[in-house]
Amino acid sequence: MRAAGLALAFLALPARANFVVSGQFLYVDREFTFDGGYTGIEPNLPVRFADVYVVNASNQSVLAQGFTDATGNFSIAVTGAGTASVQVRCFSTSLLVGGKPVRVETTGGAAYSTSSPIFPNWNLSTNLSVGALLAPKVFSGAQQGNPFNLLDMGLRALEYVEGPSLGAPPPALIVTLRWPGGSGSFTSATTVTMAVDDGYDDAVALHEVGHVLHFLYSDSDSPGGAHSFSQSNQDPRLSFGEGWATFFAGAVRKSYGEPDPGFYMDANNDGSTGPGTIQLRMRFENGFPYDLSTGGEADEGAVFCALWDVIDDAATPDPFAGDDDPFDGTLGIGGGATVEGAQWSVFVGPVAAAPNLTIADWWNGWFAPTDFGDAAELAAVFAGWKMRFANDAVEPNGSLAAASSITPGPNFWSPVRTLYFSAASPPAPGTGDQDHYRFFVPGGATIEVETRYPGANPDAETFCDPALTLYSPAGAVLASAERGGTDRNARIAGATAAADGYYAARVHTNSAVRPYGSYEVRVLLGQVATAPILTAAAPTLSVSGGGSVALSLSAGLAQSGLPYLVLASASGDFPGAVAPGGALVPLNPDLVTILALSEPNASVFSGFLGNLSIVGTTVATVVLPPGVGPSVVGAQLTFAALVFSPGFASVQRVSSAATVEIVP
Amino acid sequence: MRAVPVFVAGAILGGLALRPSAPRSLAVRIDPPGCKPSPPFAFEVRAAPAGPRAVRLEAAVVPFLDAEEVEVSLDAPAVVSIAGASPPRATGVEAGEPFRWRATLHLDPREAGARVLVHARMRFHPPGRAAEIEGASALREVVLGDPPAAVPGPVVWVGGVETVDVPAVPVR
Repeated sequence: MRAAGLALAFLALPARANFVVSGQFLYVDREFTFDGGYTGIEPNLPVRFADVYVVNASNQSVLAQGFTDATGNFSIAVTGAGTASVQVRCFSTSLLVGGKPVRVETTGGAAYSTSSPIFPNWNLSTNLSVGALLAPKVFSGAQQGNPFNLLDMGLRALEYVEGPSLGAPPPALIVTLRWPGGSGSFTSATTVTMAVDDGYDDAVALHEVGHVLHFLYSDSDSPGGAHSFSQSNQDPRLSFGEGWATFFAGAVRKSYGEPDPGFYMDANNDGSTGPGTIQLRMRFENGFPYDLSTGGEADEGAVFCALWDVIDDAATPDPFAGDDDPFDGTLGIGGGATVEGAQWSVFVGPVAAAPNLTIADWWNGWFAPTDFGDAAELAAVFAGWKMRFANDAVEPNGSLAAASSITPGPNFWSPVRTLYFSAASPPAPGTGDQDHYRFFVPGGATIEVETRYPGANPDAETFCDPALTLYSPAGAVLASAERGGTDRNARIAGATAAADGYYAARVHTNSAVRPYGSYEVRVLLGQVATAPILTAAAPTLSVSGGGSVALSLSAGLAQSGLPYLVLASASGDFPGAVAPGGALVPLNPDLVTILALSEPNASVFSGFLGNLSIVGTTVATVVLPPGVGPSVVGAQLTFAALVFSPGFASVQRVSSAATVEIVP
Repeated sequence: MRAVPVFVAGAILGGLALRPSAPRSLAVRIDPPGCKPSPPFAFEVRAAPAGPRAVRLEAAVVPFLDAEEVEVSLDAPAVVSIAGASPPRATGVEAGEPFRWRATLHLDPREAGARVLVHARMRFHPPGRAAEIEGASALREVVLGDPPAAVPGPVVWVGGVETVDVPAVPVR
């Protein structure tokens, strides 16, 4: 009787059973190429690792939940009883699978989901296959997007950083992407807002997710704000933040086998196709189309192009044969690490700890606390993008005693120098460099010293912030300047030499944000009273072309008509010699000195001996005939003039030195 | 029962008639930290009310490189007419030289909350390059009144969670 009662009770209840709901979710993607923009090809791609809910369609209550696999397939066991109107919803979130939390939502915070048809009155003991379901494009006005494409970008980014090469732990917070936003895509903390016309722009989405991961795994000091390509004078902290994010976008696209991953593209998504859809693009391998105007530590394009050169290799599927740069992305780092893993270690280690983070901190971080090696190749890569993290040709000149010679004159801007010095191995960091330049000044002359950006580039091409200090022959500070030149450059003007001697200028930086950088420096001397100034008209003479260089001597009215003699040397201007009577002459006598003295007005050294004009001037000429052998190439000819009292009775004044280099 | 005075009724009706067209808020987007790269030109849009149904707009475009051509255009369904506009296009604009476009936009009163998207587009011809590089464009938006919610689809609640429904299409 009792058994019969239990049986009746079971019959009165709906049968509870397990059934399985299976199927596949896909989404409509839009293909794009660097030259063609959106091509019109719209493949169906799997919705990977997305949250799937089996719901009762009558009240949207959740019956079971699961997630898609890498092919978009899902199979979810459901416990139910009787019948229900069953619907399957795939959400634009990836929270259930664990480890790579991503959520795509509207700007109002609602997630997207794509839904199967409703299967009414489904017997919950019968397995249900909903088939392959395609999430179509989503429209916001005329603009198209797909939240499942953005979900895939978020997942690709986390798969890259959590993969075996980088080995990052899962993020502590959810990476959120919002679409459709306004007219610009941006990121704040862990939330990306994608512009209404960026719904399919993978590189833009990954760039923004790069900002999120910078926030989650490292530390940025970017002040934010508008930024662009082809701009070498941005805030270097902004340029690192933006450059790294763009580099990251390429690294992620490379990681999942995207063909031609090394470029950034922002395109219009109004459904049109072809090159006209491209709004902004740039290749990482060669900087095109901004290759002629990309360079320097504050240029975000230079940052991402250089970082790309570090990780790419000959096997990177791009239109360029070989590696195309001095750094092979397959180099062994040691300890089983990869180049990309090393990059990440730098990013989450020393880069995260750096105050006022710029690309210079990434460079330093490559070598310490772990030395990842290949310093020469890395320096060559960075130099290729005009980020010169290396000792320049006249180092070491870090003290007054070790100062380099510099020739005064309007046309004598120095070659590009760097505020970087390291004598260590590996050669980093190079902070604290001070470059000293020595030049002879006759007493009474005025002194002007100025720095400028390489090649006087109006867009800087460097993040350098040079400062200047002027020293007397005894080493006393005569003047200093932080500014006064163009933009951040320094200029000292109005100083006067109290006596004949070797003065010096020191170039250094006081900037904590811009510890390195490239610059050029120039010294100008002004003729005052009887101070003779000798100036070469050009800094070089060509062996192949022959030709001449005029040496203008201006000694002042007070020395009108006095005899003069121009001396020559191939041995430089320091420490110089002492003339009869004790005057210091900025020239080291050698065989060239003897040759010039023996034929002071011959064809090579024309006008080297004579009398000053009525206004105390003259022009001597050094002539290099055609056919002089290549052995003289590289020689530095130094000239200095002596002004005598009447009848050559005594040396009255000594001029400044002028130098001309013999070039091929 | 007291009647509403005629002048009060008129004011209310007038207000009702005018309110939808009056720009209650005008906003120019400012990119916050961590934004995507802009094309290589500075682009600023200023807007101010110029009457109950009009907005005075000024777009300033400063190319960072020498530009062969600069053009400003509008994508503005709410604008029914444009008055007092300066030429929207210029050629041979040098780097750093601002190109300005000024216009007064007359608005459809039914389109409160609509966005006016202002485009700038240009072709560059940098020194040293034989071929021009591609055009680039940027958008700035002026929001007329309260912007409408941009939710592309019906909202449903699944298990108490708000979601925008994107009905899937069976593939096979």
